Amino acid sequence: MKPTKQEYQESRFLTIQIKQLLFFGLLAIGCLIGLLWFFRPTDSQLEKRNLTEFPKLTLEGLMDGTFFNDESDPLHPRGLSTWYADTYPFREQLIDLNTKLQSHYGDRSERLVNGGTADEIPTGTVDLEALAAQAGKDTTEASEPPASTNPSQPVHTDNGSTPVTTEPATPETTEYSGHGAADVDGDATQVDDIYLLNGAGYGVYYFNQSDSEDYCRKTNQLAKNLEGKAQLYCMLCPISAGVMLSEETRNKIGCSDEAKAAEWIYQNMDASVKTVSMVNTLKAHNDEYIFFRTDHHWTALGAYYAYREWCKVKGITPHELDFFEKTYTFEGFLGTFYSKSGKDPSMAKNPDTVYAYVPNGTNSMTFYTKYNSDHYNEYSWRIVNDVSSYPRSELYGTFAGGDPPYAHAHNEEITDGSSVLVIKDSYANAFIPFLIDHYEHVYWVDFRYYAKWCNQMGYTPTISALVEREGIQDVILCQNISFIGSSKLQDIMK
Amino acid sequence: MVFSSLFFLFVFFIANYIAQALMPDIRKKNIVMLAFSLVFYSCAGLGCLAIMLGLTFVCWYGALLISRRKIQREKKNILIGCVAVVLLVLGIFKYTGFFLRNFQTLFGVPEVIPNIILPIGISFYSFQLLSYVIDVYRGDAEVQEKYWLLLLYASLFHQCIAGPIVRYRDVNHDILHRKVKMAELSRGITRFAVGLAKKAILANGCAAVVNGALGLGKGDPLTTALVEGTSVIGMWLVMIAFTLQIYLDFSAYSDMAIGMGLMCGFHYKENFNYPYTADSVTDFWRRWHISLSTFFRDYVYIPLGGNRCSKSRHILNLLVVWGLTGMWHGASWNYILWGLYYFVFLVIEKYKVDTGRIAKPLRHMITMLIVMFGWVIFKFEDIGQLWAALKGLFGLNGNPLTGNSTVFANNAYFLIFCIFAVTPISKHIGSMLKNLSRQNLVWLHVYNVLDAALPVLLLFLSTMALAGNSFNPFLYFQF
Repeated sequence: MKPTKQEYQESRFLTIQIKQLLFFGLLAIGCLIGLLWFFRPTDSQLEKRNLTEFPKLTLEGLMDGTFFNDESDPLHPRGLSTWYADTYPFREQLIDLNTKLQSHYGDRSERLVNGGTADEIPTGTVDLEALAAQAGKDTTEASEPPASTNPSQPVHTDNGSTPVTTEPATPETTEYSGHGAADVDGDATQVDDIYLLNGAGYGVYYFNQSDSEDYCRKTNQLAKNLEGKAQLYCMLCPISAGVMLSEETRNKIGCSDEAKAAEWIYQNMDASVKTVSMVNTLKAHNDEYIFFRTDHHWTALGAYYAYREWCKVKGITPHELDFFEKTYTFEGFLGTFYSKSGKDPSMAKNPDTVYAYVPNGTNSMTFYTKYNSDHYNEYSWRIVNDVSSYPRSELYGTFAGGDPPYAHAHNEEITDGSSVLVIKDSYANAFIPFLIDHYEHVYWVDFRYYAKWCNQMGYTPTISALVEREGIQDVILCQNISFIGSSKLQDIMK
Repeated sequence: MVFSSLFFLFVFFIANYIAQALMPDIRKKNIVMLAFSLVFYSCAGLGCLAIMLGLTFVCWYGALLISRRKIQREKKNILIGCVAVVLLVLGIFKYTGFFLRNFQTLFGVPEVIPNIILPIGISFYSFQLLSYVIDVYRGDAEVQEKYWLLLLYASLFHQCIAGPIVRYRDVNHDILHRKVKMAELSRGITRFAVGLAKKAILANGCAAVVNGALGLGKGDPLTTALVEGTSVIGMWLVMIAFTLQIYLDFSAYSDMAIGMGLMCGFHYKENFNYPYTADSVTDFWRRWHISLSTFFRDYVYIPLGGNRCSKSRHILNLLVVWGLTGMWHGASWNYILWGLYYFVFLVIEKYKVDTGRIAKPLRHMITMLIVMFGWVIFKFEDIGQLWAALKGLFGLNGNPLTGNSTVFANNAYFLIFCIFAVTPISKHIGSMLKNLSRQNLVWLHVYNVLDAALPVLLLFLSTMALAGNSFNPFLYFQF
């Protein structure tokens, strides 16, 4: 039926009224939500970073416009406009919705998140000092931006909304109720370059020559300082793409050969450093569950194979897996790859399971954390902790108390006075429990936060100082190979 | 401040709309618009604002003098003075660094090149001011006695930063007498929402494809090594996605400006007319950034004699116009090259090839290839990268045909959607629905529901897209 002219006009008039109401209504709602300052999050658990802070009002900032918008650092834009969007209430829910929309942009079963470029891996040894001089580069100069606040403050919110406080299963202290010392910080050493295939993420490694040379120099310096005091071991842990993917796929995504890279780095280390090659061993087991699909870490099983390689180098007999009497199983783990992929729906369908082996000698440790305080305080904890009540993104926190700046375990079953120190990032967490049954004392320090802790305690922040203080015999550098360029190694590798 | 930001949408825009709608008369509305525009522009820095205030003053005073002098020669001298000042300021801020860098390359001096920051939008608003003074001189526009009203014209936040380059004579009436009509408000809302979605969802999505195909990680700088390492198919994908991106990005800004104008009674001329449907290079330039090409036509090309002169003079005129067009886009050789590239094709079309004799589909394909290669020149400011990109398109970098990237498969449907979005298909569907709605009650309801729901839906989708993408300036901001 054809509408009359009057019908048409009335109907259109009404429509335009509704259209206005809807459009300006949504803008007004958006405006009101933006005013809910108490809903504005300050950090993102999803992205593991502190969100943009409200800018300081300065005359200079107003004159050059950086108060409103400052993109001088493209990775961390600042200013009022960025702050407004970055801390907008319900931002993460909006991002989730957008990710769902984008999952229909094409076939996303295989994709590369971020990505980068690798240097060619050279062959043979190089003159590290000459290279450093040639580059005109002061090796004591940090190359990374300074870390922001409170790196090791435990996180007790999930998605920035619902506060979750977890009582430990068998509380050894009533004060501490965090999740171990997790890192939510720009300093967190996570794998950003991820290859996604059918719901599994693979950390992609790009060899960087100058970082590798720097790392060799630092290690050699440390070895020299430890001479006659302790034996230095170096374990560069591979990230998953180099182990789990075929050479063809690795070449396709431009991922460097991790075995070759580690070999070259080891080659350029001082002969006194005992190096542990593990890529090929792990590759031989890559049909087993040695890396998480939704997280950048290896599983306890992956760390176990690395531990066996270390035993070979050390010349001791490793424990078999059935040696461990108590084990834990935590289901439903969705780790950093899940959040970095923008909560890839195919990952959520097939989450990870965290298996953990409790050491026999002792499961007790002490560590320092800034939980609920500006200062580091010491707490008792468990080396392998029951994390079944943790948020599902935090289950890797079962191992070794997360990432505390300083931790210690005393195994009273062994009384020979033996001791080991692990200089670690989060990769070593899954490895440390296997060391417990070999030493009377196991110490571990997270190189990202150790200097800050020493600062508070009034200690010299170097490894050699700690070795002397505690009379340590073995020192193991255990960290993931893609973060050997961290500026945080600078102060302590002495 | 960028239109595609949550701060603009949920603070600035809504506040501006309410404030100006509440004002009872045009004078107060103008005061509100000026105040908001100055705040908007101040976000780029108070230093930039001072330059704009100064240039506007020069043009306001110059035009006033021109209108009051009786002797033609005096008028002309004042005009020349005004134009010279504006071009000098534009030249200093835009080209000093470029000129000194080239001078340094050739002669080794000066040793230090000052880092001059380009005041945002200066290329756009200085051209608006030039058009005003020249039009007053020619008698094509009325003189504006009030400084603040001319400042409103130059600084109006709708178009001050990235066009369209609005002529004073086209908005003079709106500044003094504008009224909002219901039908125009409705069109404005849709136009703004479409523009916002075009930028926030489509253009930013295409940008991600371009970066992905180049293997560019977040925050990484583009390097020659990256461009050289891109596979042949990857480089074609870069070219196609950038072609889509630049149109979607730039036309989105114009859409939003035109839409916001309509919402409060301003009528800006169209800046784009589906340029990728062009079937010759000449046709493309009638459809692309219309306000810029008509500016050069009216204020440079025709005064030089246009095409009503000898063949060699005509070619010289074209060369001047296209050299300037290239230079206007940026102080870098690639933009000048890009302008001259079009000069060559326009001369060929004018004097060598009768495009009418080529079948239309083929003509369109050839035009698009020319345009797409043009965008490659436009995209890579670094000459080394540009050369690597051009070689890469023909497989001369020694790369395999297919590359290391899954970016195409990840975005296949999205890119197809974008290709539809740059054609007039949706416009045709819209007018078809409108016609049907006049014929049939059912269709009227369908049309009404879509018309009311589309803007709010697009606004919501854009908010989603912008939430995780806090920083996404428009490409044309840099010019």
